[in-house]
Amino acid sequence: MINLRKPIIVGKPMVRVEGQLKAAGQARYLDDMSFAQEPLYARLVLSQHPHARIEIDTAEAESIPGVVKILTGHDLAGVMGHCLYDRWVLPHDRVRYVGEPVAVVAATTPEAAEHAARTVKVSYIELPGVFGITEALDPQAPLLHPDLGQYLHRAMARPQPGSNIAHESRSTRGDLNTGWLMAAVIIEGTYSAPPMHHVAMEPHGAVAMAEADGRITVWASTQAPFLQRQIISEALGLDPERLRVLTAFIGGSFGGKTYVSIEALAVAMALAIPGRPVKLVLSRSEDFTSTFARPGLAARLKMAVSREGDLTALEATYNWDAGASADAMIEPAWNATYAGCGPYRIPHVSITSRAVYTNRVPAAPMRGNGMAEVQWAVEQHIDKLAEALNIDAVAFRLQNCLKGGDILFDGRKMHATGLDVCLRRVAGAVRWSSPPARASASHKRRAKGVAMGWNPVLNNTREARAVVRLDAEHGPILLALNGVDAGQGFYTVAVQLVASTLGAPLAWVHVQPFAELSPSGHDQAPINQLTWSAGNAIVAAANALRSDILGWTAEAWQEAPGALDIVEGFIISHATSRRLSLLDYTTGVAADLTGASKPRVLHGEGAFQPLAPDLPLLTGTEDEPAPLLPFLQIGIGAQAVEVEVDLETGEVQALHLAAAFDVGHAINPDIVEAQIRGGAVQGLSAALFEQMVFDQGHPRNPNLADYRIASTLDIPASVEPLIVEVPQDDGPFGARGVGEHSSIAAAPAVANAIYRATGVRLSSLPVSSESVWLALQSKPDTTK
Amino acid sequence: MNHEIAATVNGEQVQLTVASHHTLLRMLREQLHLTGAKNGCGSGECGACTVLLNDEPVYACLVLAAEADGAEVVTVEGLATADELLPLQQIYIDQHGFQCGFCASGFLISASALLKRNGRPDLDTIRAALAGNLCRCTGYGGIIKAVQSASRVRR
Amino acid sequence: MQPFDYIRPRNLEEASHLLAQAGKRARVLAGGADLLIGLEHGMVSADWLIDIKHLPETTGLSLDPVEGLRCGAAVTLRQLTSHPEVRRIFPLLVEACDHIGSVQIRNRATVGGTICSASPASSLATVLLCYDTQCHVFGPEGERNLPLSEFFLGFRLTALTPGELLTQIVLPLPARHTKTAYHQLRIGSAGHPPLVGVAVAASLNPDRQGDWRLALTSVAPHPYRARQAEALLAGPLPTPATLHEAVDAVEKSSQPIDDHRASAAYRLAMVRVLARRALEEVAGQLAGGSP
Repeated sequence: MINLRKPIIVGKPMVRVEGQLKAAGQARYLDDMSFAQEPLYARLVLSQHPHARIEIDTAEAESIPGVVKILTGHDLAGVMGHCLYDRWVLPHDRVRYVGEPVAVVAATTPEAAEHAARTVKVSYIELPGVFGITEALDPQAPLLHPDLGQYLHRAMARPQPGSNIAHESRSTRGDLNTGWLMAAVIIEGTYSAPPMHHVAMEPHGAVAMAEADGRITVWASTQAPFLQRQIISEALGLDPERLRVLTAFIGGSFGGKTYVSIEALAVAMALAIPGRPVKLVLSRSEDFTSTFARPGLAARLKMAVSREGDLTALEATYNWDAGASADAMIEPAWNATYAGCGPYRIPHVSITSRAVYTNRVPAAPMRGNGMAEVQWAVEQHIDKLAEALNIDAVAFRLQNCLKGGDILFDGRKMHATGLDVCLRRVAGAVRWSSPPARASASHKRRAKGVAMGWNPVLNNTREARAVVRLDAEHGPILLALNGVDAGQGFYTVAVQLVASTLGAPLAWVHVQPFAELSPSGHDQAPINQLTWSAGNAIVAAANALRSDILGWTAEAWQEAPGALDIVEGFIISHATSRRLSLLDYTTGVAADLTGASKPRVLHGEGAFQPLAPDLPLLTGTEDEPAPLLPFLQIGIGAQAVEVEVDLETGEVQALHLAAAFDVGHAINPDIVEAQIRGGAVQGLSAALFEQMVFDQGHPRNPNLADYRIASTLDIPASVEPLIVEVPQDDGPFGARGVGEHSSIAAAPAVANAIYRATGVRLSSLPVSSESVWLALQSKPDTTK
Repeated sequence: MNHEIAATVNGEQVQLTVASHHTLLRMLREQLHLTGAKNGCGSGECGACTVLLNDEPVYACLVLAAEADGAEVVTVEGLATADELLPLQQIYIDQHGFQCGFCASGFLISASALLKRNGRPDLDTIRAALAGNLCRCTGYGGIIKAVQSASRVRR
Repeated sequence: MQPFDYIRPRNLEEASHLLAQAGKRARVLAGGADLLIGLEHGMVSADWLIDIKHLPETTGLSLDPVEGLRCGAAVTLRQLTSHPEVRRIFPLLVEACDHIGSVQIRNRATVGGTICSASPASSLATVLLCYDTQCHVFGPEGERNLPLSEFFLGFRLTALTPGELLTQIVLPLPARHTKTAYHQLRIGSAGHPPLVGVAVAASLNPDRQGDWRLALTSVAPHPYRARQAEALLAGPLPTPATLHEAVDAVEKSSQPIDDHRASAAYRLAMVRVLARRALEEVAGQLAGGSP
């Protein structure tokens, strides 16, 4: 008698697999790890000048008791990159930003390391600096990388030697002139976003150890260990087979811990002092000055709309402040090249996207791969056009937004999408069509704003791989994959996918980082949209294992495989009611049952490559095809906010924030809601507070007192996460990702609301009280 | 200079030799291997190192180990009894009070101190009590909900 | 953090002696927030930290119907504002302290430490100025008292001489029915020092003649009283014109600077807005009569 019932696992809220550990304070992050040997403590010497020639004298520092080793650019020749090799492990003769590591010290105590780092003498001959995008593009500007022409780069990077342009790409579609001719209204505008910081609560860090046999292990706080292995081994001239990059629990990343920041330095030091772990954990201020920033953006838009309210043309320039190294900015620059039109139907488009060098900390994309910055511009511009035609901002968006089946840039069809549903949901949540409630004081004004956002994600040419292993001793079911959970909850989703696909109890499934199982031969999985990309690999791996097991069992039982099923960890026969626990497969019982030749540790493998790199492509520039194919799975959604603005002080308070994203199918609705809510508040924090302030290249707020992020007192009384589910054809159980892009539309929604409340447009982020006040001061006094 | 100190940490008497310049956070993490409290900023801004010092939440990065002589210290590891989590901790898991989790220890300490003082805090009180702890992942929704639910359970 | 020695002196004399001997190499350790952050980041260096939190002179908190509030320098902000009578009689202290830092900071930060760091952005110092606070100082020459308004000499500069330390402050009881307001403008809602703060305390004597105190945060090298405005407001309940003049005087008294958090121009404009709001609020309460 078969009484097992298939439990519903996918689509069901489930607490996080690591919840217990985290709530008990037992989850071990990098700095919590203990080692058999007391580690050596590494400390960085940081450049004090934004642009200078340097000479380093380490003699005095080396004589400090406890100091074991000091490395400078003279010891390390390596260059780092994965698209454009424009960053040195340590610079040889020239520094390009304040905070750039110029030497690394290892000592037996943190105090000695700190003392030595302060004692290392760096002499600077200052060079003229470049401190902004406009300055950088000036033909007379000093060059940060005079040898740019000699730099190694992949085809997708398009550096312009002799300038500060690290990359320039353009896409065109239709014919702009036709678009302008069709227009009833054409509006031009400029928008800007400052460099921001990812502010993962855990600062960057790495512990590296070189074994006597030449193998090196580095434990890093990173969301891309396989990419780090590739970059570090290339830069240091190591055989990648010798290097393992492992992760502990990761205290947040948001893109800031994707590329190599300081991890190569830990490895280099470990190589110099084999046999002892070398620990390099950054202080909060070093995390600000010496890792990565979200790029600044200067955007110029010209958009046209017909009398009927249809968008007809867009001409856009996105100039990105890449800081001193642009390697991490090539992908987001491409993303803007294609996706810089926003999620709209526009027949005639031309977009130019450039990453430019400035003497600031290198940029790396943050949550949304550049799209938060792009949408800051596009979504305000959309409101301006709607207003010019006197069309409601929601109605205008519904009229022009992408729908399933629309032809995209690359000629392919947009997949099914609930973008319009998202917009309607957020509009409903803030009661869009009703006037706002009365403001709380006579000098305050209230209004609502909406914005949409999308993130096509260009770097999905990476291959996700998964192995599901039946191993009664350690699992009983182990999942390994080449992507990691940086805190978003992906491992929980992964466990749900395995349990559901295989037919095993949730509690049986455990995630093991791939690097542990398989130290070589695998590249990094896509870094974002893991639910979709890695999720597909996981389902494939679980299916492979399942069909092997069913096949062997059917053979042993002399039944048709179709008559068998796996439910709650039991292989069952609908025909004969026989049953066998999956666990017996690995304990030997199954070997007897199914024939001795079968392996006792079983595994299934799965892989998913979103895009083959060699697919034909649309025209990237007039004469050259773009090297990447975007758009298979598009993260998309809308946000709405109600704000109250103090007309005298410029203070803005967000009262109600609603965010809806089309996630295809929510594998774990609780985690999806948590992602949407967290992203919305992060977007709001960026809108109201966040910017890295520089004075002639010198960081002025590299700490959490002066760089504000939203606290419990800053969040709106109501933050409403809304899940929209229009299934993704090629997603696991119809799912799409959500964590990557859940913050992207908050800032323009706030700006649009402020405009509706006060009549002033804020074109620069952040929307500080002062900037609103300033705008109000210069507003022409219209007494309507 | 070193100091001999005696303190109660998570209910246990400890006698330690601490260096003058070591913080309470460093003592807890390095000498007692209690790594629940995190070093997120070293400046009393992020709250990841929050512990109870004589029943009151403080930033362990801004207290010297020597100042803890004679004090009672509770870290996140000391919230649960034996193998059982506090109701607050269990509810925190259920309500997705964390994502990456780096801030969780600090929030749990601040929240437990609040609930001990005030069995039924209103929303503004909860927000004010937790304003010294930063979280970059959750948007605080799950955290606040967890404290609200825990206050109902405690009654 | 670089090594230093932690010292707990047995009494004030020893503390003062150590401070006098060591000069700048010794620092008084109270709540530690400012000092330990400075040491951690290498902005401050010290060989000795002298903890004064256990000395009887620095720890008491008492309210006397004649003398007023006597508060030891090592009393924490939390202790100060947990006292129900203090909350009732000195509401500005609550207004100021409840927005300083966070629960964790207020549990450690002390009244004396907050005053002695002489930050221009100190809300507590601002409202203490409105309460005519007196400072008790102990030093090699013995004790001396001085008003808080004379304690601040410049940007992060106090009247303490080598070997001296602040032991207590005394706040005389405010006149009955004193009305108060403290308006602050911050970046975001939590914890961070105000970009501008305006504190007002005023009372009417039996002849309905007003006595006004007005102090400002973050718009000068240190918190200060806007005495010209106070003088303008003294007398009968101010008319709108007088309030306007007072706001002008407040604006004139301030010398805000540009920094990464706000421009001088914005701060100056906000001085006007907040001063007007605070004065109108208090004037309104006074006009509304005494409860």
